[in-house]
Amino acid sequence: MSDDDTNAETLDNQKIAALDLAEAIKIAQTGLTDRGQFVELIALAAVAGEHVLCIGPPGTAKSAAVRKMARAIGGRTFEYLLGRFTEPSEIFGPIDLRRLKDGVVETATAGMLPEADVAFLDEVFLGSTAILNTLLGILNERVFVRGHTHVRCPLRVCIGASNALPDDPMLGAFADRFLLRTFLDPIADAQLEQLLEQGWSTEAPTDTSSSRARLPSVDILHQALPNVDVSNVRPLLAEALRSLRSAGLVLSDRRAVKVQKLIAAAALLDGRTTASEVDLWPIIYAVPDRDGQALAQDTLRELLDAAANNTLPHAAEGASAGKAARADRLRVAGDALLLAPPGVDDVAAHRQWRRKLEGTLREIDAGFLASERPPELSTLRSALVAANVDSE
Amino acid sequence: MIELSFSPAPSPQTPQAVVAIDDAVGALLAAALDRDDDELSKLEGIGDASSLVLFAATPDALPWSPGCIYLAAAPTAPSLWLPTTLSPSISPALIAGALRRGSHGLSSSTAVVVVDGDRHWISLDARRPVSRVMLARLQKLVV
Repeated sequence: MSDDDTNAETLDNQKIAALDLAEAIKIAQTGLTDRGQFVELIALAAVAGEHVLCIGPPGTAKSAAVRKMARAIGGRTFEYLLGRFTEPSEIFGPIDLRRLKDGVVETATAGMLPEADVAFLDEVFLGSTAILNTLLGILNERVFVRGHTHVRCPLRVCIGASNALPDDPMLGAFADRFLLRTFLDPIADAQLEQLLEQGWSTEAPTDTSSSRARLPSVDILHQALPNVDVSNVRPLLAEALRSLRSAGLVLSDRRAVKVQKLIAAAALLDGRTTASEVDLWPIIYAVPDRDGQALAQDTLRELLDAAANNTLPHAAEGASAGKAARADRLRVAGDALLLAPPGVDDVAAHRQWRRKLEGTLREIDAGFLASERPPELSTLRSALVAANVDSE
Repeated sequence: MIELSFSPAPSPQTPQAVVAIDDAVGALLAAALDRDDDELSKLEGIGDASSLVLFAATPDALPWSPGCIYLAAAPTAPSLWLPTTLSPSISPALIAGALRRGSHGLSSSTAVVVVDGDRHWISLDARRPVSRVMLARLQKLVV
């Protein structure tokens, strides 16, 4: 097989892996109201080999979103609600007593965080110093070290959750290891009906046929990360960082460098090996606090106007509020509606489908002047209008 | 004298109302009448055969029809309603002030709609809850 053939096969595998993860994201988003962005950020972090910190009040479906995404990705998941009195053994495993008799302090890590592919640590900042210090090694180096135990960890992504960002500078240093930050609010008034309906239906037993291991796809894309060409977007990233500094927002050097990994991961998940201006949007999620993210959005509005991602449309739009990202999200939503019209016999489902059709048309018309609408969105709009007429 | 013009809004506002002008009124009426009573109870409106404006507390409650235009109150001048996709060349607060002076205080809330380059100024003061009867009566006028 020639080098060209090998390269073509590698690229094909990467595109298939991106599609596989796009499917995982869709599965995870089903039944969740307004948590599409959070789910997509977990996928982005997993491919980039980084971690996500989710800040939000209790009851905002943080755990549900993580569980659904973890199930959709597959692999071993470790989940724990930390408290002030949580012992390290509850997270990393107990001391192996048989080995202790031989004078060896070894941790039995089976089923615990050091062996997890996906980890979810709720109330992560309540962990003791001993827990957080050991976690640092796992998050940074993917290595668990305790006593005589020295284990390489398979961890792809860790999701930390908390009600608020910590004030303590010591905890702030730990929090800095979570490159991606997202802030969740309770569901908006307009989406309460959808929340109630989806909350009711997710109480029913779920179909597990769709849960198969997609970790190999995460690994394929993660391994491809260093080969992504980010040279085109690097000057734009530097410009963005300078603009943020001028606005009083300084991203640490570590964060600034690591944003490139997020940009590369975004391009890979979009099926490309060359990053461009459309992939600059993850920089917003690397800004550590909520007010800073809002300021960064305003400051970088023009630079992020082209932001778009077929696999991560909610995250791209949430970061940029740009036209391209909004158009992408609407296109995905509209295509899904056109693919699955319910039968006219099911009057209630048909009515609901028509409302969604109208809702998408409303979003298109309220968000885009006809003269400013991307051509693909105009095509979709025509199809939606025709479907709306046909359904009357 | 400063000329008022409109350009595409850098980021569109969330719609709070929908308006139809002239030929588009019939379609918006039909879309509204297609709603059940519960959905209609979430709407307020004002209209005649030449224009119809429907308001809702949440965007989801607003109907869609061909040719309709979505509106939102200007953040800096809530009495002035503008298309969600357009941004005026003059501060909305100045426009609202000029409208108040021009109408001698008669109209406290106004929508500006641009259709095919023509500007329509619609007083919104008489808006009231929408009923099926009111819409049906209006539909007879339009047909």
